[in-house]
Amino acid sequence: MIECTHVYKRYKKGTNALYDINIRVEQGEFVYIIGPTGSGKSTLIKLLDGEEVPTTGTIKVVGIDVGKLKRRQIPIYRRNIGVVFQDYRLLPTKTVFENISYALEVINMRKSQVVKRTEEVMEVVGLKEKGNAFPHELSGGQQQRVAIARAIANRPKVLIADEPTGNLDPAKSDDIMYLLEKINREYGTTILMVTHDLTLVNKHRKRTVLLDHGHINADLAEGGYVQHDQ
Amino acid sequence: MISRIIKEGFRGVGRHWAMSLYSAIAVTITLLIISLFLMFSANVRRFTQNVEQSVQIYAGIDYDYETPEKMAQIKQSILKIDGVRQVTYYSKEEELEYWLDSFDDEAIKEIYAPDDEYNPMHAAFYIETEEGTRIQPVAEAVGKIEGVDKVNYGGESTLSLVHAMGSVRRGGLIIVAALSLLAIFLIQNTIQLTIMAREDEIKIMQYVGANNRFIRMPFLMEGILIGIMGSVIPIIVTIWSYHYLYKLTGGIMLSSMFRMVQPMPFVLYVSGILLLIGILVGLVGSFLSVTKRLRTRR
Repeated sequence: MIECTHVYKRYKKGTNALYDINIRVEQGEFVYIIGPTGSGKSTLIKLLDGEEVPTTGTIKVVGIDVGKLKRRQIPIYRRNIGVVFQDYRLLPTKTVFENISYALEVINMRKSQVVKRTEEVMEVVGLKEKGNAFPHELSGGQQQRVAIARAIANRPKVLIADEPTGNLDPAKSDDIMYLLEKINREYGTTILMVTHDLTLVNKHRKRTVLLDHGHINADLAEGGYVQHDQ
Repeated sequence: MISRIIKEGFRGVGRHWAMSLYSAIAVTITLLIISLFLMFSANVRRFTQNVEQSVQIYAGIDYDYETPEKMAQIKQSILKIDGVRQVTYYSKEEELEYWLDSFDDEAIKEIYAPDDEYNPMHAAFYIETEEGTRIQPVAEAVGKIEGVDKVNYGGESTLSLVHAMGSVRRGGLIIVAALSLLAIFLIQNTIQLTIMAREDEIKIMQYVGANNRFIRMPFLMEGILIGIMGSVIPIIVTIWSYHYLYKLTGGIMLSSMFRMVQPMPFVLYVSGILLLIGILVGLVGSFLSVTKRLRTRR
């Protein structure tokens, strides 16, 4: 599903972000990427969603060589992956329903199908009654649910979550985790989640990749992580 | 597809109503200026044409040159002069009749009417020039032609009127050009501002996998709607104020030479132009700003 082979990223300003990254994620896996600020987590996400191009090495997602995509192919590529961000990134002037259905209109889905599928995913994330609400009327946890619903609406094979619980309290974070686990389990969606919430990582154990200063320091299949130097 | 664009366009305007209003006001101000200019320039044009058309050069023919051949020769010489548009011939008899007609009183006409074949009038050519400014040189050239007895064109006062009209037109044009420049700057700024606030929105749309066309179309629709919104007030003001002014003055300013353009089809033309400019400005403005934000870096 996701395959990074000898990926290096060096920004034009001269800062090195990633060194020789090799990760292979199989279909249906749930993987954490953890690491402190500046470890290269964000860069890795940007490489995966096509925002940045690796300096050397190849990144393949659902069989597509992301680094080789032309600018105009990026929108089409992004329809294969769902992305969830720490700050939700919902369209502020669209209702919950419209935010989710937008992702389906983009792929030219038929109107009746759009309505059906939107209602379906709203039910999955438990926000069926909130369809006509605007994002600012919802709590952080609810907004993140909408973002997740939008990300999975067109049934992507891969879901990338960039600190999805970063702005939420522990209880809400747990809820989001259960939701992601449910999506992973029931739809077989491959999930790559970037986080620095170690409590969460230790509680919901999954394969964990530790990034530090642009290097992969550990790749623990059994999950869980204890910081030794604290 | 099209219904989505229209629906999204209306929604966009509705949900960003403050910004839409702000942009529409900028369009309104611009269109008011343009409307003023259109009404002003159309009327000055009409005045100038009236003046220029009513100014003719009178060329009386010497009594010794009244044979048809010599007349034809003189006419040819006049037509050869640069800037002559039209030459009309009036015979001695027509000239006399015209002169007699200028009296209202039948008794006076009776007194002046010649009782025998003697007619003191000169046969004459009335010459119209292509442009008002050509009157003086043409008149001078006509005076030099053999057989032309007397040339008259109303002299200095006519010329100064023509020149005044010319400077009014030029002055108006400069003022309007300056104002339009200001208006364009205003609109560009406004749209820049509104789009800047929606940069995040565009970015999110890109994240979800929308291609540029999909994102751009509703924005263009919004621009068109804002343009239409912005042209409503200028159109109402144009129609109302021009009718009012026409009624107030009776369509005449200063003298009968300054006749205003009839309001009825004219205000509709102006309104049409205003609507068109409004739509165009909205469309171009939003196209430029959206396209600028759509450029993905990579």
